Amino acid sequence: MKNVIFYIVLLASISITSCGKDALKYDFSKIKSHADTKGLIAKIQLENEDEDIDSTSSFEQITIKGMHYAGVPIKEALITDNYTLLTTDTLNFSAKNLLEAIEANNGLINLTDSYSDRLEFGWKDETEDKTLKINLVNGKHLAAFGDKDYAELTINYKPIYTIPLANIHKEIKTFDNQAKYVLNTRSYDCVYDIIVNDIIITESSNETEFNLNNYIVGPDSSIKIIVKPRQKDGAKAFNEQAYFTAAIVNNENEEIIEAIEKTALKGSTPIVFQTDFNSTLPYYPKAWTDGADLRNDERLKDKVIALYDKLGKAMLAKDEQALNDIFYQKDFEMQQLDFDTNFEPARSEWETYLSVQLYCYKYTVANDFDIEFNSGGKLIYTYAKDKSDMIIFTGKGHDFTLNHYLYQPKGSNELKIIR
Amino acid sequence: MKKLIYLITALLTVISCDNSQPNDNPELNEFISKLDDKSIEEIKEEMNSNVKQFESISKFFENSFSNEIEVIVKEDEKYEEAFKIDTTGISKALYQFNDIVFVQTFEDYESQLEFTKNNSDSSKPINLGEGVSQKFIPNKIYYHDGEIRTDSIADYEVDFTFDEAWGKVKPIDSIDITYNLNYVKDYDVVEVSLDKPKVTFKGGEITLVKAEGNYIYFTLSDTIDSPVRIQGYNAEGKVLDRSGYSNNGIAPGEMKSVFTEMLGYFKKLQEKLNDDDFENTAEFQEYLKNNLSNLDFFNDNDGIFHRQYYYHGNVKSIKLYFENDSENRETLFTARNYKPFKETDDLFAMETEDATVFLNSKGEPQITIKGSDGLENTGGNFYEDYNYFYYLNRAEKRLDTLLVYDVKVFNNGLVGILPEQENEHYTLFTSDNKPIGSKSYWLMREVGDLLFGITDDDKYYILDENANATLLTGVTKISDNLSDDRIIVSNANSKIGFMNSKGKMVIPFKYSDAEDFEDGITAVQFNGTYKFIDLNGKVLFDTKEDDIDFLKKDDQEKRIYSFDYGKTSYNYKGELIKK
Repeated sequence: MKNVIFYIVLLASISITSCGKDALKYDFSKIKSHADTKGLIAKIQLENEDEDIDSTSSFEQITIKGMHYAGVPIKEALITDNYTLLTTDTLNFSAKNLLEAIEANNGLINLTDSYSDRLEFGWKDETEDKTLKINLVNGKHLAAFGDKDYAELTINYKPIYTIPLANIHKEIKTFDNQAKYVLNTRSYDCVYDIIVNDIIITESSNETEFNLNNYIVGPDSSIKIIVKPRQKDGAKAFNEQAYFTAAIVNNENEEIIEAIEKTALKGSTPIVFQTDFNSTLPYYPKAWTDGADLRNDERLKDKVIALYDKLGKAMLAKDEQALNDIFYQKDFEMQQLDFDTNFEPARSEWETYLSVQLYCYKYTVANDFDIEFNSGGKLIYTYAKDKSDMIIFTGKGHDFTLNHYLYQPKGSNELKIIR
Repeated sequence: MKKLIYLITALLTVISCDNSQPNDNPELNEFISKLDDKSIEEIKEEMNSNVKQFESISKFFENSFSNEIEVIVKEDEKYEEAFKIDTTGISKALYQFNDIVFVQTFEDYESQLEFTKNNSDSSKPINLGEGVSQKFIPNKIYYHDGEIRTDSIADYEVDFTFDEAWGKVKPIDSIDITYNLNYVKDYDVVEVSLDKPKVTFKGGEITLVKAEGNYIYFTLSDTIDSPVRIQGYNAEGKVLDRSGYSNNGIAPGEMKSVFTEMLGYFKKLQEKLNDDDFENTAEFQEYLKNNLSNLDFFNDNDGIFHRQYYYHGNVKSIKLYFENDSENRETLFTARNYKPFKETDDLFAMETEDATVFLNSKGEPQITIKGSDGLENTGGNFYEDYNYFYYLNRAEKRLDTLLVYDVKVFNNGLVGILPEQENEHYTLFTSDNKPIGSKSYWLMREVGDLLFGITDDDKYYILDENANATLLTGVTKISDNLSDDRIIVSNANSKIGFMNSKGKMVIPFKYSDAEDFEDGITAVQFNGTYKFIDLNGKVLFDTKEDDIDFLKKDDQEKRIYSFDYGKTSYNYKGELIKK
């Protein structure tokens, strides 16, 4: 062990110096991926044959002249499998120049909070995360920018995913009116079931905010709230201070669409609040609207199992196209109903699936479950009884579970995940 | 790869620490003999793949010895304390080894041991004061198969940071080790400065060659023993903080040529190997032995040792402290195997380059599974690596992969498996991977050799090796510690009692607070005040105190019971400590 550490310390200290031409010929600002970086090192290697540069190394420090970032000379580039760290020359306005060069491409940026003596800036986008650390020899104040500074730019290149599921944000349409209907509740000593458009979206909950857009498929909607005593310490009746109040709000403009006045809760019988409300969404999803009524489907249980089984097989087989087909409609509709053009939700969900593929080696589907029919039998939700969830993925010290709303598109004989 | 890195470091040790001829150099001979079990083809391959690495390493050395001499401005100078012998920690150091464990792993037919202090926050021995040095000398190795080894073990390293080689591949139960402390009682001080650059000392000479800025270079005759401390002083006589140093048998400026020469030597060896000049390993070893002495470098005959020091300040003189008289203190302790070999294990896994070999307690290979690596035994026949759990199927002589969330092997041989996820129940299996017992448990706990299964309704059961479950009436909480054969347990009314290591309640639930037993007694609270009780619950003494502090330790790591913010204290025997 000692020897290996000794070796690593030595290797980390190997620095390659060269006296190539001074022309700015290796531009790191053009690099957009880890593979591009490898290509650039290979080019540097080819053009500097006398130098000992290894384009296959996972920890390479290069100090060849001619390296730059958008015209700002780079004195040293450290290239690893995880990040690229570029250090400018010292004492030559380099930090200031580098900040200006990055801002020219990525927009103006504010300082990130930093407790150290240096200034830090951060940029995040779909292909890379950048952090710029500026070391000011004369102290921290921005006015000290000048000839006594240098900067370290760290770039983490993110993998590029071509699968549509990871690129949903590119398909999202934006509108002038992007209503986001939300139910806000305030209450004391009670729990409630919330049913929107005949879909039970939660049961015995005491959360205070619910996104409704995902359950709206047309301009006319209904909501039913069943408020029940919180059965704490065996109590069956409402506490004398118990109350409930709620409002449906359009978060886009804070407009109150419908409100339930503050109501004192008495007795032990659940109290039902019910109202209709109109929504004006610029986009109504197809969702389960053309779905078949599943209430009399004798093979429904088998179909539920078959769907989760297909999902399990696709995950373990790392069948990206199959996973895309299983989740795309759900994810697209939900992100569109959020009018969210940010790259992160789709990317992070896709990366969750990739990590399940990486760490899990088996899946288990519940065989015993209750089926709940919503929206006139077009939408179902299942509650596993023999397992914690409908599908469990298992790896060594890893587990991941899924439970979804399902429907059966017209003309199809298979269920689909829709929420 | 590892072997060649070893070769480089071994040779570096030889060149920097030893002036004798390599022919009779024991370290080199030992290194050469390590090649015994390698074929000439393997050596050739390693040499080819690694000469390039050495080239990089020698590049590093070229740079590292070219420190620049600087003149340090006054306000940037850093100082340190003048040398004085500090023996304050000695007593504590001698008593720090009451619970030392080691982790034994097996690789390529050799045991690897790493030691840990199990009795305090730090896993390493305490830092010693100036002028105090320590040594660990292994005396006896108790192997699990009954063998007790005492010969040729004194040089095995008791290392608290790294794995070290400890000879034959056989499970060790425990090791007796002598801990030796040596501290300087009396010392000589020798000062050299530009005014007085040469001093004669004990028949040799100490000579200041150069002092410039933060750099000083001086030499000592090889006949003079190493000083215990060297400190640099600035013009006002302040002790400067050291920033770097280099000690060498050869004069500065010659290092680069040494590495060039070494590299040349390796390349020559590589060429000869590739030309198939050696018929077998023995021939190669012979060549290595004879030719190392031809390297100019080993002929360091100038009789002096060169020291270069760099400081955070401008150094004008150097004081060298030489030991004159010293004293030894010794203590003996036993280190135990952290994961001892159990009868239920009876085979253990060893990694070799291309396989995992399962050996019995005598170290004899029983089953070899090619291609697997990184296996770690989790108990009995169960193993894991980074990605999977495995069951060693002895009948079929193969590893069965267990596609489950978790596998826990308990001391009594029972195995608890979470088949799918973290928040489900453990199902029980025998050491042969057969389901056993009818109950499943949402939590399994082990205290000493007792295995507890806790069910959904918060009931505690003791499980024997056949998964027979005995309900522990009234128990709602069990402490993690078994101490003096007693475990703290509580009931639904938060009253505390004690159970023994067989699971029998020996002191009923009656205390509102209690500490673990130690040295046969403990303090418990009932009827308002803390009382000392013995292992049977008999009250020895009522302290009349109603407020106990956190437990403390004395210099000898024995417990102190302290009450009412330290106003009254009792020692580990329950005797009042007089202020």
